[in-house]
Amino acid sequence: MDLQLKRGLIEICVLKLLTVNDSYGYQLIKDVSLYIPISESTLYPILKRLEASSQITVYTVEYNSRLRKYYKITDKGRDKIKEFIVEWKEIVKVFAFIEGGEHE
Amino acid sequence: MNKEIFLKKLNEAMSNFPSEEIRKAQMYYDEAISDRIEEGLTEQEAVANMGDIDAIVTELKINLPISKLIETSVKTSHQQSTNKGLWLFLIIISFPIWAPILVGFGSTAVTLYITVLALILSMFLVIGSLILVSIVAAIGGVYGLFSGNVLAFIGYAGLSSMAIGLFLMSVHPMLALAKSTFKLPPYLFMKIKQAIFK
Repeated sequence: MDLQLKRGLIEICVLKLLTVNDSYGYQLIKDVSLYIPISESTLYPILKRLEASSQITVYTVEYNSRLRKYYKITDKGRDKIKEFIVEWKEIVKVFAFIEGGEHE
Repeated sequence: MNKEIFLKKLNEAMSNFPSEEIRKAQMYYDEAISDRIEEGLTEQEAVANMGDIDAIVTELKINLPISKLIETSVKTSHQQSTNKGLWLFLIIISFPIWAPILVGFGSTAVTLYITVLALILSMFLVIGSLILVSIVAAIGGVYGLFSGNVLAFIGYAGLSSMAIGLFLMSVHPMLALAKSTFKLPPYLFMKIKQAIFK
């Protein structure tokens, strides 16, 4: 899949997963990978970007005598999911055009 | 490769990065490897799961914000460049040329922006005065009604509904305009960043 498109989709997938419950890096990778194969080096910058744009917040929890970072979605992150769904309808139109063009 | 070596190598590969970024990446990959080991992978497998260090660093570099990107490239040029002194010298002696140009462009941009902001402010004042007129005229109309002055009542009622109408008509476009004006500088900033660092 196109890299930019993939990054954008993963971003929304991560947000969507966080609407269910707070989660941490490895768990997110396992959950996202059910839909899009993803590695740590892809997820890390995405989490950083989501944090920098206040779509998620981070808190640290002690687990097995080490620290684990948990991610929590903010209202801004929830808005982003809604925006995406609206935008997607436009993308589908473009897709229909592209696919139609190839068959003709 | 075990975890310790991996983190050390990552640290070396990121030596140009701001120390805060290095610290965060170390914590993140430490956690990622530990999680996999706890789930039953061997340390070697867990580290292999992280992928190639060069790929990790490239990905991180693309995603650094502009201020840190500059910091990174300055740090790099400290290490590599031999003619840094020459560049510095050129920049200093050409100061009388580029400084006024820079100041000129900068102040023009700021002035333009202030003008737009002033326009927006005046638009809000107009909206405010429309609200005020509609309220005052409504009071005048009520007064006219009770004092039996029918002409005053009709006049004031007309004025009031006119002001309300104008207010309703103008409030949406004005808010939209104000909103897009406030979004403009971050947008321009992002475009400039893309032009320079892409």
